[in-house]
Amino acid sequence: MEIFAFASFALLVVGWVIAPSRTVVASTEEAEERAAA
Amino acid sequence: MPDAHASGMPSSNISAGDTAWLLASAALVMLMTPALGFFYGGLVRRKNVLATIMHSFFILCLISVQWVLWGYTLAFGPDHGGLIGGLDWLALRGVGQDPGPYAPTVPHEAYMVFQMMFAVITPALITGAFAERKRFKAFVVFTLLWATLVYDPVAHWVWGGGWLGQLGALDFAGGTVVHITSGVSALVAALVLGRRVGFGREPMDPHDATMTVLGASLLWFGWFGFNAGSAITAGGLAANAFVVTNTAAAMAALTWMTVSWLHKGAPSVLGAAAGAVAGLVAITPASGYVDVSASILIGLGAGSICYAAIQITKRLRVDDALDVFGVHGVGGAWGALATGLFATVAVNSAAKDGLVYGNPQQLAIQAVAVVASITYSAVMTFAILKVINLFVGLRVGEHEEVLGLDASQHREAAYQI
Repeated sequence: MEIFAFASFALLVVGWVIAPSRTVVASTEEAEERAAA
Repeated sequence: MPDAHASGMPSSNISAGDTAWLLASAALVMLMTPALGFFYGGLVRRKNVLATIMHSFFILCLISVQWVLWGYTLAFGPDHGGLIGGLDWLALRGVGQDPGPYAPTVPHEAYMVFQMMFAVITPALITGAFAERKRFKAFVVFTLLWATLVYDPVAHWVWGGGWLGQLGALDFAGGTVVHITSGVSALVAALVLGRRVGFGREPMDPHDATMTVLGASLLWFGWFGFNAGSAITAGGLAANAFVVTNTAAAMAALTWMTVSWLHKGAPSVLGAAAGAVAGLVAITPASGYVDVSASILIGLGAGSICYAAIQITKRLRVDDALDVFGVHGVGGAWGALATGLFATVAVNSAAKDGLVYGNPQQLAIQAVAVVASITYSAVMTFAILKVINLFVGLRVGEHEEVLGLDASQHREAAYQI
């Protein structure tokens, strides 16, 4: 059971590594553009 | 030496520690219902926030009285054919300061009031499905009938000496009794009431995400009473339930946030809050039977399965406004089945091992409990709603719905800004 518990958490860590990070930057830029307009 | 009974002193086998923990747990669980009001209140549009909070607050009052008058005896009174409790404890006759049959070390009244808080929050969970469109009068009648005809019998089946308990179904704190019944009833209510005006055509975004996260956090806090209190004793079993509850909630929040991040491109704050609640739901039936490794797997399953369930209901255009079925119905079913997988006598010697520990029969028993609670809740909720609709009318009129329930049902406004 313990090995599956560690594997589950490792799976999430992999998810955080591969998850998109540009989206946040892009939406911030978009918000700034909107505010400037 | 004064007479113990006359002075209100407990009989000698009552444990002060157990009693203190159970009463504190009852207070923790009580807090969960207004917390649910805030969790749901933040998710609705601002014109409906008071009405949504009122659903939870009103149920706290209504079921507190229903429970002492007839709810407790129907659920926990002496068994009649495995189906319902007798009327021996009507208006709490005979339920006093001495221990009852369910908990030998606490006053019967303490056990009763702890169970009352479960009866209170269960119908409150359903309110998220019909938010923003249900007539208040219909809601009042529905809640009273549902608590009496659905919650009380199912609580008896599982915890009151009824047929599911006799069969060997394991439900430590309410996966079937609380979450499957409320979640399935929520789906039925959403289908019977129909979609909100403008559903799918206009934005229905949460009006205050901070309120929702605060509500989720208070729910998490109260859930320690819900699960660890269900040990009834202030000992090792309560400690185990506390630890696995916290672990599953955290793991499910992380999982939901990660899955939504991968799916939609951003780590959702509301997703983390919903995920925590899904984890709390799923660990509820298992919390007195599984170890911490299993709680991590249960949390992982809750975060991913409940997230998927909500995507499916949205794709099917079911207007379960606040995702009650996906979180409570599906999460409760997953938790009940996971109990059949991961239960171990190493945690609770009074229970049974699950499939992983060599007892596949327990998983089959859990499946029977899941199917029975789903079927009964669905049929009874459908019937109750149809009958109410004949006499009261379930939905507000379109004009009232567009105006908002705060103004149309309560003649009040949440914010004067």
